[in-house]
Amino acid sequence: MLYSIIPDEEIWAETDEVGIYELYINGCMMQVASMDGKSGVIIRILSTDPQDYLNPKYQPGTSIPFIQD
Amino acid sequence: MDLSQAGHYRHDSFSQLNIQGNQDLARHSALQNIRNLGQMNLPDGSSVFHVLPIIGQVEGHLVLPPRNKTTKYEHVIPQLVAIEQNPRIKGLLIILNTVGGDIEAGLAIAEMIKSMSKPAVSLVLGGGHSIGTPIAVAADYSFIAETATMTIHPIRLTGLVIGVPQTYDYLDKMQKRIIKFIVDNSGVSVQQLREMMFRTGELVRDVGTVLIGEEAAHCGLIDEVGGLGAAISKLQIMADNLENIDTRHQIYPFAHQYLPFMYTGIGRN
Repeated sequence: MLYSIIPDEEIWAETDEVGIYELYINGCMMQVASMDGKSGVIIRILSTDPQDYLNPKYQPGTSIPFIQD
Repeated sequence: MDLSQAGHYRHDSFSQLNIQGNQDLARHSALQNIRNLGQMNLPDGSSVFHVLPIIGQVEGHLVLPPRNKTTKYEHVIPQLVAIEQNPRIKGLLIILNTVGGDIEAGLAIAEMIKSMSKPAVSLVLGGGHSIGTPIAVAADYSFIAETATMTIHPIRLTGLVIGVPQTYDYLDKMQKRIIKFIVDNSGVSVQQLREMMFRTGELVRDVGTVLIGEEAAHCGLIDEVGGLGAAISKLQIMADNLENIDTRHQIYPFAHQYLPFMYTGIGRN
């Protein structure tokens, strides 16, 4: 049950799927947009540690290659 | 690599970008930062206060379409558990700019914040609407920015609704549990909150009230009008107080070791 000021029809409006993934990179959870699965562009960091947001490697818009552990 | 599978990934410091040496790397990331965000890198340090941004829709049982910016239950709850357990973290600042969302998820987050032993301060910036209200009041102390708004309105049932009196009872029950949480955790009275919630004529398409900055503080819903500086200093004061209490408690466990000696005189002469 939603309790929101945004009308339901607006919330549930379907849009094209984009390749956005939630990953842990070096222990920090972030949302990454990736086309090829080899590298991605950081959309946002999902961390409560304010210092993670100051990490120059994790700035939104930064592209990062990833290798699975 | 299939990214749709959950997992832990690492990246080796821009290896594909063919950059050699740490200095080059730092310069590159600084340049990229200026290009992407128009700002310089900020100095490093360590934080004793963590921040939890509640932004967009609060997402619970149903995954919302990707165009919604969401704060997900499954991200927030483990983060709160981690903050509660990490001894290095002294407090939590909750920053709200939410349009509401799932009732169950919102109340769950609110209950988690309320039951945390570490100091929690909330700051409503922009908007803290609907289910954002219980989350804002769940903190030990709440702030609202002067220009921030909070919409207090009733919950609704949408879609196919069975037209029986029980439907209304159910709706009323859901409404009551939200009202109870807000009243229990803030200075607003049930009558006042209900009056604001069901007021007509203030919202264009809906019943309810929009509270702006000072109004939210005036009715007792939020403790104080303030910004980041005020919120952090409040958190600092609360953390310091807690630390002082903690030190006092730490002495007591040893009392049984030295008190008998004091009374019997053993150890003197």
